[in-house]
Amino acid sequence: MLEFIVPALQNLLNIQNLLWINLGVFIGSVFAAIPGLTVILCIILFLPFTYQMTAIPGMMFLLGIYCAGGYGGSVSAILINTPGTPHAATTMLDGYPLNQQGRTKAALKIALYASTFGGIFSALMLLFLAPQVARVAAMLGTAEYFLVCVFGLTIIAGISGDSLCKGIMAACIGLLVSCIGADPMTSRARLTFGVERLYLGLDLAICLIGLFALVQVLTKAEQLEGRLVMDTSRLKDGQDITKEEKKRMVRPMLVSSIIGTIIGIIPGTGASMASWFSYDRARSMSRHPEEFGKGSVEGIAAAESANNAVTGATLIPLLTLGIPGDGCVAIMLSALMINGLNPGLSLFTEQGDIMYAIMLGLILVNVFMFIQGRFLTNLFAKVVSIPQEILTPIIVMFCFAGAFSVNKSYFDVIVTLVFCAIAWLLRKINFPAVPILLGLVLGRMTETNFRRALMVSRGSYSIFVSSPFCIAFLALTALVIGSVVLKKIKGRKKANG
Amino acid sequence: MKKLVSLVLALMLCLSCVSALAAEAWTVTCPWAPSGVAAMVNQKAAALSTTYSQDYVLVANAEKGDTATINSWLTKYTEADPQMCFIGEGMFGITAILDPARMNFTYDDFKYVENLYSSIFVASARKELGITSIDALKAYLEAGNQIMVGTNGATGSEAFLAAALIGAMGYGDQFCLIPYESAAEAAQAVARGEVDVAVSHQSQILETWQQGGVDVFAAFDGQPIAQGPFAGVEGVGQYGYPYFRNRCFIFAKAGADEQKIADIKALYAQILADEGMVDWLNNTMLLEADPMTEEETIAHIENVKSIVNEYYDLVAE
Amino acid sequence: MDNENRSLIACIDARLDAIGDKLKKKEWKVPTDLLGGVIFLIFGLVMLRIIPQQIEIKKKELVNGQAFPNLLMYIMIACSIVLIVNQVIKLMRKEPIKTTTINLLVEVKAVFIFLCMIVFWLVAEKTGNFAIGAAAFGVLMLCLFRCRKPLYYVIVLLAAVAIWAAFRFGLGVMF
Repeated sequence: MLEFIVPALQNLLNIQNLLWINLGVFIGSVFAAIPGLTVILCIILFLPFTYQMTAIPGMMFLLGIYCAGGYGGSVSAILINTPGTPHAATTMLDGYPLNQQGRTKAALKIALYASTFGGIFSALMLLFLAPQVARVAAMLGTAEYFLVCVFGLTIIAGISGDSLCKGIMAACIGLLVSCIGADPMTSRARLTFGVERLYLGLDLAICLIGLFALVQVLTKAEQLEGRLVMDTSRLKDGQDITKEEKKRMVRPMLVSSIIGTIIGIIPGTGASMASWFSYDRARSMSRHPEEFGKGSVEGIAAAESANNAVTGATLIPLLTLGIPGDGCVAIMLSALMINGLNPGLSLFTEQGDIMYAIMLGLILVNVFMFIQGRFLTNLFAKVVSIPQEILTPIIVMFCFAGAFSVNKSYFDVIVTLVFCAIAWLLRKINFPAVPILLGLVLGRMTETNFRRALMVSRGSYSIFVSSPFCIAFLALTALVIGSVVLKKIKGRKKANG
Repeated sequence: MKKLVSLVLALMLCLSCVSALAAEAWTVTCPWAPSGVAAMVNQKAAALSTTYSQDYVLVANAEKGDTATINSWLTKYTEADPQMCFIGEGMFGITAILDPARMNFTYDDFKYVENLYSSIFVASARKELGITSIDALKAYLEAGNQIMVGTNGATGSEAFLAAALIGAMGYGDQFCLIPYESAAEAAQAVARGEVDVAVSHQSQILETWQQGGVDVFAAFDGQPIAQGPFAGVEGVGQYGYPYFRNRCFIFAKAGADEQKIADIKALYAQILADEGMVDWLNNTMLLEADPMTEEETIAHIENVKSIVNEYYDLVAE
Repeated sequence: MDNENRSLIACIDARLDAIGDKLKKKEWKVPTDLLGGVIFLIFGLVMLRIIPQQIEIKKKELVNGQAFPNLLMYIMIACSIVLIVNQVIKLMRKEPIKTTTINLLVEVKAVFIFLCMIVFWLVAEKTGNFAIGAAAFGVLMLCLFRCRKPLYYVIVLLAAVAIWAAFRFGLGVMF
């Protein structure tokens, strides 16, 4: 490894690469901050630029977009209660309440610090432990994937609000919606009601716009006044992050970075799952769990460090095994292949200088994301001082434009409106909307892996206890369910006694 | 001095605009994943188009959605629009039989331009099985063993190729298809022993094979693989088993200007003969540049259809 | 003329305020958990009827395409029943149940905003130009906000065009 570091640094440290990194970081931050404009869409749009470049600047540009996209999604989540990207939904749970407390800049800074920490943590993991970690990840099979999803579904308990039953029911809606489209095991249409476009399923980013962004606009109607006018109040920015809060961020950031890295190396999982897992962990480990959902510093730090820790981790299976960890990385794979590089362990010896330049570059990307973020935070924070009369229609315009651009179809705009109506109805009957999102994130993966595992085992359920990983995930799930039940019993005893 | 520099810059800008206006931009829509093999080759071909033509520029576009993308492509554009799209044997040969209701088009709605590439799919088996040849596979099946085959998708080309090979050997009842979300997943599944065999593009199994996780024992072609890391792997056609190559056809809308289509076909011929392109296709993507006539294309589709019809039960029922 | 306009606006404002006052007084207490339980129960039962028609299954599948959606609906129905039974027991014991207040004014305003969004989509799709739909929506929203500042109208209209142009020319989204 060491013999490649010097040539890698020589390849990496030039003006051209630094410029491309910064351009990528800027584009990624801004793009991801706009609801509906996902990181993957951004990478697809800018991919052709990299075909004129060599591998290192091309990858630096795309990694800049990818990493900054992980952070950028949190901006709109904090400012307007609308996650710019699906994985920023967890950040929204505490980011927006903190913003509402008049601490916009503080919320944005926590997200930036945590994102940078998570990003650099996973970049270091990529640099030092990639081949070893990738081999372990490659051992996880269909049964293990299913059990990871089941473990993920236990998070419902934490985000259900006052009633677990209501949380489960809302999650069932999300899980059911994830069934719409082609059956992953047979390719036959499911729940499409004859609508051809539904065969492709519903994009998570589009559902998200309806569930959170548009319904947020409808809540303007709730500021009751005696007249048919809307709320036009403005927020003022207040206190920065305190020393005490900085101290409280450390533990969730570290734990979440580890969780994010572990989730990231498992192909097909992604940043959303990592943020949910980390958020749940951070709450159960926190000394102030009551603050979660009401502007917890730890909540924002956990979610953001986890989703950025995924960025470096998804590159581990890509660079060592040639397996892209998520959609964005799959597109980066094509940027490498266009340049004649077929990722895999052999490339570490044949083209070690390029591989190490990419890995070291990821650290640089995170550093520049931090520097740019420091400047952009001030700019972003100004959004809350825009008059509501102007901001509200502009948010909807961005939402519709974003929804349209996912598949270049107005059908998706209709889908956002349907989800907006569903979210409004749920709001009226005090049902939480967040479990729907969790269902959407985990639905397809849960079902596909369950069915595939049983196909592989020819119907035997013993496959779910067939490996140490399976047993570990089952034990974790049992532990979480057990603690939830225990808490409920204690709560009831307290209420009665 | 400043004025001179501005003048030169303005002139350069005008010239670039004029040259861009002179070349007609033809958008080539790939209806599959932007990270997939077809999208990559599309991008590479588009990048080369300016080298070989001053009249036409190819612009690569990827909109995943398979038949849905082609359905909307057909309604969106007229024959006068400078638009082309990719269609593979999957749509004309497989979806047309399995789920024709999803296709709002037939072959007659298009004007054939060219075949962009050919890919020979390969079958790989997990190491412990010791299946290193087609005969070894037959012996394995003869012993009464069930065989689980992992493929990308449930009803794609790979699934039908696997079904055709095992079905033609006479062991269709021992065949079990396990669909995965991607070829990489299927490759990993065979390496860790979750399935017995995987069918994939050569490039998709390369890394797993290099790390010693699998044996690549068959190529879905008439001859052994001629070049690349899998050179010498036997073709199933040598044993008389059915097969087809994976191809990516470029089509314009029916009624498109004949002369322009001929020019673009000629442009593709130059791109596909480019040394760098051929080298990249062969050595990085493990594909072949394979220009084809329309008759050959139609014959290819018919061959796929006959295989799909024959092995429909093994895959779709 | 200016005075005439002002008095007309004041007149409209007064009318709207009067309607608003009337609507504001109309409130209902809704038992949220009970109502939610019933809605989800009905939804679950309807879906159980629909699923077999909407999901075709293969003969040889161990776990077919209907199994997971059916399982979800059974879970939903079970949870609904738990929720309803809980609330009914509370009612029988004359314990307080969870309720929310539905105010007609809030709902009317929400419906108006939602209608504006529908107008946005319809105008954009029918005209084939996103900017026109966005502009129409922007103006409608400003009217709903009872905005009297011409500058705000200009800013929102410019934003509509700018967003359209950024997507159309910057990102190549044709709408």
